[in-house]
Amino acid sequence: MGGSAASDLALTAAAAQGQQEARRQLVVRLLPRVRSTVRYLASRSPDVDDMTQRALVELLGAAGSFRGESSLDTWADRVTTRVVYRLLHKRRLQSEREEGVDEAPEFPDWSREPSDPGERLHLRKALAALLARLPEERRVALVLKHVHGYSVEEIAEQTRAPVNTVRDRLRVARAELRRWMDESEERHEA
Amino acid sequence: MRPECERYEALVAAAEAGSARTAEDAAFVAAHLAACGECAALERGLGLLALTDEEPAHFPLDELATRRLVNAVLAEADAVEERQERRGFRVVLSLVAALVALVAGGLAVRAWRGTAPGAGAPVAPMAVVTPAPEVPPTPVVEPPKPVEVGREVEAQLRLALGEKGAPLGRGLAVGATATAKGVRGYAVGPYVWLRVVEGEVTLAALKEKQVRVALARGRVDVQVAPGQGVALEVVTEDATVAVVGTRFSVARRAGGSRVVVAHGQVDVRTALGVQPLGAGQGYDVGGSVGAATPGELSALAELAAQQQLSGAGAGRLAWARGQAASIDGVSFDRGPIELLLPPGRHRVEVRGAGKAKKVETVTAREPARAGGGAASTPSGGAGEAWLPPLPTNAEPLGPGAAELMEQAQQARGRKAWREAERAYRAIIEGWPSSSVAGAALVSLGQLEVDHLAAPRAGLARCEAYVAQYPSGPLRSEAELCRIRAFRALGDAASERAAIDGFLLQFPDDFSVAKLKARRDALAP
Repeated sequence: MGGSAASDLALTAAAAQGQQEARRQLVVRLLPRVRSTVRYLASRSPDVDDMTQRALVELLGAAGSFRGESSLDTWADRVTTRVVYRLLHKRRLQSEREEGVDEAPEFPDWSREPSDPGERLHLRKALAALLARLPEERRVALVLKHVHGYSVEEIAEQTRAPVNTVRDRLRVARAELRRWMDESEERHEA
Repeated sequence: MRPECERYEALVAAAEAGSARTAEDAAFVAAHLAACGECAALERGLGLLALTDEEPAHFPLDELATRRLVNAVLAEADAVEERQERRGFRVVLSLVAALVALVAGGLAVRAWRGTAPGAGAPVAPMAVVTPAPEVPPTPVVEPPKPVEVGREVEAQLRLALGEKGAPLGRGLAVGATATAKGVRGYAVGPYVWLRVVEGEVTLAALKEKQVRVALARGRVDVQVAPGQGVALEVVTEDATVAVVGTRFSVARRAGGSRVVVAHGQVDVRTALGVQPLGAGQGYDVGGSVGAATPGELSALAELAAQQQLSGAGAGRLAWARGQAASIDGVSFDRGPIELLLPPGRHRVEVRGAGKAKKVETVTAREPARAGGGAASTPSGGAGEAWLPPLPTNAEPLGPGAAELMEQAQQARGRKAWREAERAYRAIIEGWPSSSVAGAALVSLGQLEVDHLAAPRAGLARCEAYVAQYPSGPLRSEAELCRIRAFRALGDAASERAAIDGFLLQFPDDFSVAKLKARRDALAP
């Protein structure tokens, strides 16, 4: 879905100058990825559209800072993660209870590769619901690793945590996911 | 966890830490994944999380929801920038003020120090150091938030023009439909003044101080007194204009609705999202926002003065068809018009219809009893309900096209595809030439291709949109729908040709990379 590096740079530069059509194109370009990231990071689906909107607003405001040193997607991932992390942290400080975690779709079948977009969506919703059960630091580490493909060192830098702490978070997160997937698989077979 | 799975996890962690894998470990990993359903399922699940160029949207929104979100983002980004500019301006002003104070103080001190006391010499007076005057910060005026108008129709008022005689009721009548053939002015209680310039208007009073005006065709100019908590909504087939305390007009013609704002702010809700409009702006629904014309603004300028002389409760004044009037120097349009004058003395001129100009002073008193001139029966004063009693046979207004579009959107969110299909069809059949029908055509076509297993029907709809709206805002979506329809029909040649056409027309669209890859895959 990406354009060339040169076209991405031109697009962000035009958006930073306030050209309306460029701003619209940039938002349309980034929206699917930003929304997917937010969906995996935010534990409550009522927050998804609000956080997506705020992340995209911040991306527009920061358009002038994109220098083309990384890909546009990588740049957008960093800003989005930072925004969501900040909003989640603010929510924690305001002592909002983690209510209304999304219901997982019933009986996801993890035993085989999904064959069509509908099945992939079904499994991704189930995954998002399982991720929502993880504590925030482990969820963020797992999303950065497997949704965005960052290395452990890059995750440590983004989350301002030691590298070994990130490794530990990933290890425990994998173990918890494995356990929950086993449990749901048993229900599916039953 | 079984020992083999623990070994597998340890090797995964080691690889993440940068340790090179031996041949034996690599063979173990491959064999274990082939044999262990649990580890394979975990890796499969984690693999599904990856965002790729081919699949950047794991939780896709449909076209309308996407457009709404995009519009909301752009509007919020503009508002953020505007606030930052104002803040920056105030900071600059404060810095300038501080700098001026510093310089002034420095100059005063220098002036004082320039004269040293000597023996016998007069002592120079100490200069008074006064700081530069503070520049007050620029006030930030937040636009009024639109009020959500309730949907229950408690009463329905219809305008009476009095074609058969004297107007009914207190300024507005109950139970008749207005079909204006000229300019007609109406007071809806003390705070709302309407002028139906042309066309047909139906009024519905949802609650006290909440009024809905349905405009099927023509134009209505509206003045709502600010600060009185009156919420008014003008509904056409493709737009809903919500306002509190402002002055604007809505016109509905064959090409779609146009909204012009002279004062205050309105929100225009359409199938494509919410468009806020401020003073001096005009908006063609489905098009762009621009400046209102001088003619449009001057037509609205007199409304404010008219509104202050209308519906304020004390005395009734009416003039007949063909007559025009001015009250206290404020011009009103040709009658029949009836309004309620506020208490006090008013200079009234009535002219036209072959009669000489008649000028007189009308005194309106409490309890209301209109004096002299063209006044008719006295009206009620303060303390009466401002809406007449309800007609028992009133029919509620049916859903407009914009509401049907919202219903379709909600149905799609619930994956109720057939329900969405019915709503789209109702829009296309009920408002065939409106811009909303265009959006419904594309949305229905996409639904038929993607969810109703009817690619031929979907193809026909999207091609119909392209034919009817060659420069329409949804042209690219319609073309993408055609491409998907050809793919679903297994017509590779047509699909490839459609892709080539799209790439020529929309070279900067965000779908380009994906389409190029698909075209290459279809190479003959």
